[in-house]
Amino acid sequence: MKATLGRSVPVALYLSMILVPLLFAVDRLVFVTGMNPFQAILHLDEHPLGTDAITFTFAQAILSALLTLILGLPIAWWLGRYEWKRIGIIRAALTLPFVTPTVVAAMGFLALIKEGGLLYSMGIDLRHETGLIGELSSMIGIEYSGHIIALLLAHVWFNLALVIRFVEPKISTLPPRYEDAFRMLPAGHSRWNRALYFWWPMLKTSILSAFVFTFIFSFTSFALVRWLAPNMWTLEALMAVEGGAAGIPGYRVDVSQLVLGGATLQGLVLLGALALAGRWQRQQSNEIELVSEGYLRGYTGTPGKGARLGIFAATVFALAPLVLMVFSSIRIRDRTSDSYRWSFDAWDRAFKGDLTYASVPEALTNSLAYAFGCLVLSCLLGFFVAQTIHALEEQNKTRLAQFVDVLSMLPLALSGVMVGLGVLLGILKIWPVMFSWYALPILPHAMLTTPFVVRLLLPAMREIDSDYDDAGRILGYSAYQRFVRIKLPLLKPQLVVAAALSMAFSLGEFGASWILLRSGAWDTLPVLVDQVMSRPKYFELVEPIAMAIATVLMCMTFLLFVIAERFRTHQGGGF
Amino acid sequence: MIRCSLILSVLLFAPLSGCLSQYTIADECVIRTSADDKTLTIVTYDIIALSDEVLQEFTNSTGYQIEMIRTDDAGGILEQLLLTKEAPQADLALGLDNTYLQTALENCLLAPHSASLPNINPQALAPYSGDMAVPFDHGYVCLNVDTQALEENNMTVPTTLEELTGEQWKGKTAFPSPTTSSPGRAFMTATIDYFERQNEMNAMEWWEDMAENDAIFTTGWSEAYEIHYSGGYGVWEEGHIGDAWLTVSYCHSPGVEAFFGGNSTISQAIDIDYASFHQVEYAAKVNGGGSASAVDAFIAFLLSDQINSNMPENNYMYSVLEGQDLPETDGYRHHSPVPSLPSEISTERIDEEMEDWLMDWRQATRAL
Repeated sequence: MKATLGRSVPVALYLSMILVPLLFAVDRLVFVTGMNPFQAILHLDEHPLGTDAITFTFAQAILSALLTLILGLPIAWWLGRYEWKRIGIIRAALTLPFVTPTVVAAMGFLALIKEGGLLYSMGIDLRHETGLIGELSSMIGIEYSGHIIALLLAHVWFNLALVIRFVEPKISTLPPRYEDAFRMLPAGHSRWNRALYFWWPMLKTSILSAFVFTFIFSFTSFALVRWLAPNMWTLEALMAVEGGAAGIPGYRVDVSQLVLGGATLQGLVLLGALALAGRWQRQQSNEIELVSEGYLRGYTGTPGKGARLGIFAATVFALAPLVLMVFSSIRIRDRTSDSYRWSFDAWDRAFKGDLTYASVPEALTNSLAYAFGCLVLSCLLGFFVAQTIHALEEQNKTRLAQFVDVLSMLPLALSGVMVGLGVLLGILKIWPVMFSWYALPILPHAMLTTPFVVRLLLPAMREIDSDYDDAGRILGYSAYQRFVRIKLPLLKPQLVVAAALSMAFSLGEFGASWILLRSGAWDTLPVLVDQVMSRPKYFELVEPIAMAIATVLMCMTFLLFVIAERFRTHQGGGF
Repeated sequence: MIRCSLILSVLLFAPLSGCLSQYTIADECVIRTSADDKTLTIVTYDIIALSDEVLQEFTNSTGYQIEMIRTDDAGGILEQLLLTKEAPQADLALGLDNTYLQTALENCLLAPHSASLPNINPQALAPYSGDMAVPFDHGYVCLNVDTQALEENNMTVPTTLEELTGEQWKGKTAFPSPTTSSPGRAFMTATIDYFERQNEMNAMEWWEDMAENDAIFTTGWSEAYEIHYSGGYGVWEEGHIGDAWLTVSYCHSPGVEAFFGGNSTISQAIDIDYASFHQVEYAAKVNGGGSASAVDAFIAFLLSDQINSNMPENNYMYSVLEGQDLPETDGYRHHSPVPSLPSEISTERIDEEMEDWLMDWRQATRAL
């Protein structure tokens, strides 16, 4: 009973962290608009951009998810099938975009597509839509098609890691004898048949999960849309731009109506998608036996030329915007002579904090403090939530397990504006002093990262053989001893990856829409980047300073991922 | 276990139920105060004049620590004040302009200060001169045009707003939205006055014509100026498109361009009668905020000669101190015309009609 209560407290705390702000936000918006959330959905078309935003949100999210699969699956296949030197570094490089702050990603991408940039010099002008892209645009009759293509490519770049992380482990741990046996059958002779009747059933759940998560992240895209397709609107972008005025009685009620309707529609769509993904992942864990990835890699050997070229291209694609970002930090425009010079002036100013409320060392200290706090909180909460779901599954309470599972992923489905409003109202009502609490940013960071910790730990918990626990009981171990001596060592690799992922997400989390953002002693690296980027850039060093800060952030994140890769096991599939 | 979790969640929610649905819309202005502490919390957008060094100087000389709450722009400051009206989080609001000030006053969001002030330029005091807000910088919002693009296309600088609805300007103008940008809001306000004096068409008809003439509408000044405007520093920035030869900025923006560009700029501010807006930005004590003495000390610091006279270089706005002007260095002053007849709409009228204007503007342009 004591243990059950002990486990219940963190789970209740986590559910409250999600539900309390939501409750406050909905209550306030219902009060301001005088309509319930479902009525508000029906009024979305009253906003001048409402209908267009809904259509574009769905269209770009589906296209982004499809394109990410098309480009990501071959990479996952090559990575999973063959023996690669320094695979940890390749994986870290391919995962890096996923934890890159979106404003930094957007800048890197803009450097790639700008006039004189890499794609432009190849005749692909996505920004001004001239030449090939202009012809394509008039042929298909879609306005701003260059911008839309740039956005889709950026979403692919951002989400490629999801496809690789979901699918590659499954490919690399499937016993080769299964495929060998299938090849002996008449249906297994042709490559197409093997893909259709062997690989698709084997990989279906991982591929569909990757599709759903890519859909979710593209659906809620905001900064990339704003920078890369400035004339297009997603629901999240619309709510983020207008949302500051939401929830104020008697003031711009149309905005409250938009946020209430938009967030409800978005929440319903994404919850449905998350429920599907959760179900597929559960199926996946129980399907088939797995082998160690080294075994299969040894079995299939080294990659051919095509695979090498593919992985090289993917790595270049993943790193190019980030490398360009580093260049942008030392390539300074000279306004007086219309030319560029190379200099570390921006780095010098970034470290001194000349243009910002905090210097890089100060912001880095804050970032690391918050990241460490986030690691502790999200790993603790994530562990207990995963444990709860697993315990319910063991007790055959499947529906309840599914319910808690979906609820645990709710932060991924909620609009940032909605949560921001809820957190603000909630703290104001309950405990206003909390606003001046230095550790406050840890809460929204942990809310965002806990679902990923759950996703990492749950499959691992499902795979632990219950015989180990039984053996512990026979040896007379207490519940605590069984946890420390058996479960924890078995979960160590996943816990290390979860810890690194939590830290990386926290480091990159901007969080402006989540809380009343304070500056000064609280500034983190991404906040500093945003602060500098939002200034008028008459002075030539403004953007290079932002890029220098972003480079420090990227280096920290990359380091964390390389460390995590050393501990990662590749069983099953999942993030 | 899940039952335990749900019960605990309910227990956590229970005390909160009393907190919900108890909002009041407006009440009489009662000036409230909170206890003083040694931290001054400022709600502001990113005022670039306030660097770490400047803030540290204030802390060293007064002993007050500073904490910032950042919003996107002047509108964001008003919205934060409205949202947190019942439990104010800031002591000082920095950056509300004269298109938002009256709304803040009407909603009892501000309180009188008691800082001792230096001589302030009467122009900066023209929109408001009471003790609830102190101007700290000002400037004129007007149209900026790319003279090089006009020359290349054999066009001349427009002398009326009506010209911009012509075929040759199709798709060549970019406007920040008045619903999400303060320069955008200021310019839209100016168009109301401009067309009321023309007696031929009303402002919203002009905006409708502009939308039909493929005018580009952006959410903020940055998008219009950096991404779309071909005559500014945006040409050096990642993501520049440069499809607009005319945009809304400050009349002294070409001056700032010249100042940082070695006295060279292709951008020119257009002085059309009543089509520019005199924008004044204010520092104001928040009603219900604490640290009254720190607020007064900061206002005095902000208006000190040492800080305020450097506004043109550090904040790209005019100083409010009497006798101060833009510097002559590198053509800053030369490229910054002062409009002869800016629009004359009172702050009271702005407060009364702004919501309607914004609704009409959105109807007319079908933009955000």
